[in-house]
Amino acid sequence: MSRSDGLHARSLPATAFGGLVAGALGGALAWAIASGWADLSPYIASYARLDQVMSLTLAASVGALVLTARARFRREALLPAMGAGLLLGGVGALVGCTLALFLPVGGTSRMFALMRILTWSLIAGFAAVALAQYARLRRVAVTLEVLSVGLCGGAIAGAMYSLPGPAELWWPAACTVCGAAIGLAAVGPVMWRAPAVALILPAHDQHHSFWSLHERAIEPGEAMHVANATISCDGDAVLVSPPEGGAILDGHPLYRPVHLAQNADVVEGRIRCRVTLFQAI
Amino acid sequence: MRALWRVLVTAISAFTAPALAQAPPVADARVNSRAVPPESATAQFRLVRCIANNDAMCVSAALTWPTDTPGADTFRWSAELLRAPMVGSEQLALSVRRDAREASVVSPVFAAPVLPFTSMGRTALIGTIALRDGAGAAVFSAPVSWRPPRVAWPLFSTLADAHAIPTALHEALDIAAEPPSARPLIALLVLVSAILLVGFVPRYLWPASHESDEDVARQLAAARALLTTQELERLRDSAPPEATLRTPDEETAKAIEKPDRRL
Repeated sequence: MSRSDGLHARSLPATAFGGLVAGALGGALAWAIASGWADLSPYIASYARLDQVMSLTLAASVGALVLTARARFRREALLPAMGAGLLLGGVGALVGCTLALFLPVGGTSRMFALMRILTWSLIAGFAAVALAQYARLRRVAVTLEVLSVGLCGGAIAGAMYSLPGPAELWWPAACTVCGAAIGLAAVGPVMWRAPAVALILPAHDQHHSFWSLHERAIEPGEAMHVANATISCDGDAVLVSPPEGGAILDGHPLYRPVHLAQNADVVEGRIRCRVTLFQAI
Repeated sequence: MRALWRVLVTAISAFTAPALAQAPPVADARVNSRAVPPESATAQFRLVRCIANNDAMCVSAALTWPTDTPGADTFRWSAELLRAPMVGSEQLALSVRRDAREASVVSPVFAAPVLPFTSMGRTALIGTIALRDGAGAAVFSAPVSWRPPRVAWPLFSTLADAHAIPTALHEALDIAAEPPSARPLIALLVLVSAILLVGFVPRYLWPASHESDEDVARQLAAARALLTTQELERLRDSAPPEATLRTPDEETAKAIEKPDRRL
């Protein structure tokens, strides 16, 4: 059997789904916060400053929720991730928005709409790249993919805000779509560009809930423990190392470390883990 | 820590200053004042948010002149605005009479709704505002341009009182017929979507396993038993071949055939 025979079709990793959902919720949260703003004139002198504050609020809330969800999926500490999300998302969006403010406003309505789309796009792109740094991006290709997904999602959000019809409805829709794009871009490419992704399966007859998802990308030099077994990335190959008592790999006993050639289920103790190879190594 | 914060704020302000310099103010329309007859009068126009039955963006005008201004008794206020939405444009002319004596010192806010709340985030406003006297001649005219923020929802520094909008304007612009704010409905929609996405979608994307812990334990035991059998077979293969039974007349050692050189 060739090595690529056992590769699943590219499915959405749970963490990417979590980033998408958490980002959308963050965008909706930012809309709810900004909807309560009535009179900020003592603090905000211009619409440009208002745009900066809004983009900072949007990306900070999105970043906090996205990195918190990611930390939960990886079973890491939540508070540092939330703080990092607030900071990285806010700074990234602030830089993107400020760069966009240097663009000319445009005399015509179409130019204004174009500048608005560019502004949303830059905000989402820069916020996504800043948030993805929390995962310590090592490859330029992944960073470019993060930026591309963020830019495209932000452009869609900006176009939605410029649509004819009830702008009161399009604004929260744009915030939600922009948040979802930032969340997906921040954690998605890191997952689906990793050599493998390990997902802990739920116990018998128990369903996955958003909070119970447990997944981790197996990057080179990183490892995930499944009970006493270890799934690691050795060079460019995914290695399953059983404990002394052995483990089960796809229903077969495993007493020695093996390199995975295809997607596999690893059972150790009472924990089952599904390893998905996303790239033919 | 405070010093670090101050340095950070200063750096951000310095970085953003050029971008902010070209931005319009948050609430006021840009008004190019010209000579206003009577010369002793001053006028100020502002874009404000009116809270009436529904929200709307309005124009407020404040006109101030001395009480002894000649012709002040005949002043009537009117505002003319050209509303320019993103697609197409529409002329909107408003004219409201006010008693000049009432506004002879500092006028109350005159609010004319020019944009409904629901389209404030999308629509740019370009036009002129004019004050006309009783004979219809413009005594003050000023260009007004306004565009919404790119990311945020427009905010205004002034809130006009609902009573500042004349009832006649409500009827003329059919403001009362506008739909109420959809924010509660949108919030409800977001809440329901969040519950569905967080609570139910993961169940179908990653379905539960039907293997119980007992099944897994049985599978593990079977796998280990299989391993034991395999290992036994492997050990049996690697063991030395079993010797055949010897007969009494068989030589027990080849060394016997060799002479002992030490003897």
